[in-house]
Amino acid sequence: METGDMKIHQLHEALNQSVTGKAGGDNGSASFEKMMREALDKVNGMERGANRSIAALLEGKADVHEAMIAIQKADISMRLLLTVRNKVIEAYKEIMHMQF
Amino acid sequence: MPDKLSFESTFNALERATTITQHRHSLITDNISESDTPYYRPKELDFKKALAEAMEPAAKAPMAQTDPKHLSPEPGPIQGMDVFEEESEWNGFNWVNIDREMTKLTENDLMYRTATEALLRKITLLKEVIREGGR
Amino acid sequence: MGFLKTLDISASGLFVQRKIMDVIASNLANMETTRTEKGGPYRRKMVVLRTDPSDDFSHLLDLQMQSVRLEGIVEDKSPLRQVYDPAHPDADKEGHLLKPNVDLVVEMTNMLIARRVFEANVVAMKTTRQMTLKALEVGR
Repeated sequence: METGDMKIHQLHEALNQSVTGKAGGDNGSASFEKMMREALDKVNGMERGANRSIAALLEGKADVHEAMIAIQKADISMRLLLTVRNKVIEAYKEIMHMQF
Repeated sequence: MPDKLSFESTFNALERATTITQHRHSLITDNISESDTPYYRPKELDFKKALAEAMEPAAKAPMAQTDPKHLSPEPGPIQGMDVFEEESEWNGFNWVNIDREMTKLTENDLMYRTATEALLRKITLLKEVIREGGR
Repeated sequence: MGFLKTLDISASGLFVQRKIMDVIASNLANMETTRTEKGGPYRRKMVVLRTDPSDDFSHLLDLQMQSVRLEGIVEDKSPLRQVYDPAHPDADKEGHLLKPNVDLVVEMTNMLIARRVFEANVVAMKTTRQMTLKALEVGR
């Protein structure tokens, strides 16, 4: 989960920056979107990895702890992504409510 | 179900696994309770085969009894599971090996618990995603 | 390597110890038997065990985890006991009688060992089961 960790962490950082107004203009949002997409792919990959280990478990080829750990990883990265998504929406709403 | 690693595919596999293990459990407990019945032959079902068959949604013709040792197909939700009489050793009055049956009981029980736990995790995550999505 | 395989290995141990008990029981029951189908007195039986790497997964590992298997039941080739008992119908002209080469002490000892090994395998199975159940608690 190492690169996944990194990307989601970066995502969080980028998010914080944009909320506090430190991010640059369009460039900031393009790389943000890209990061979001990559994070999504990574989470999807985790999910498939977990499903793979479950299939192996049912066949008798993998052991329980392997499958459980894979499920956990998928679980955590999914929840983290959800949290980030919620923050994005919060940030968006905040920006929309700003009165100039 | 073209994608074997999809959520749906895995979910179905887990669901099917719990059904199969439940059925196998009753077969094993039958064998154990009949362990002192003369001439009793232990019944078994092939877990992997039953699971694989469940994952192929191919249309099934009514089951022919291809082997005289196969018992007739059971009606109801466990339809399609091939129950057969296991090859085993004569122990003096029947073919039941009590150690083997106890071991199978443990193995089957663990498989059941694992499948239900994995299923539970998936459902919980799904519920949370749905709940969070509403925000 | 799944928990199923581990349990199967312990199960093979149980099976083998049962068989050993059969052999011991046979030896004890026939300690004084002077007539058998083959003619001659009963000869002590022993088991020969071997490892059984009979699986699909074994080629994936350098260090194989192996079940045990009964290679066969053989006769103990050590000499029969000779006793002097001219009254016995199977005694020869000089009154000597050949009796089974079964030693009570040896059989009793083997019986204790068989029981202990059997119990140890049962404990191994219980432990495997507990470990698997614990593994299910990861991240709960």
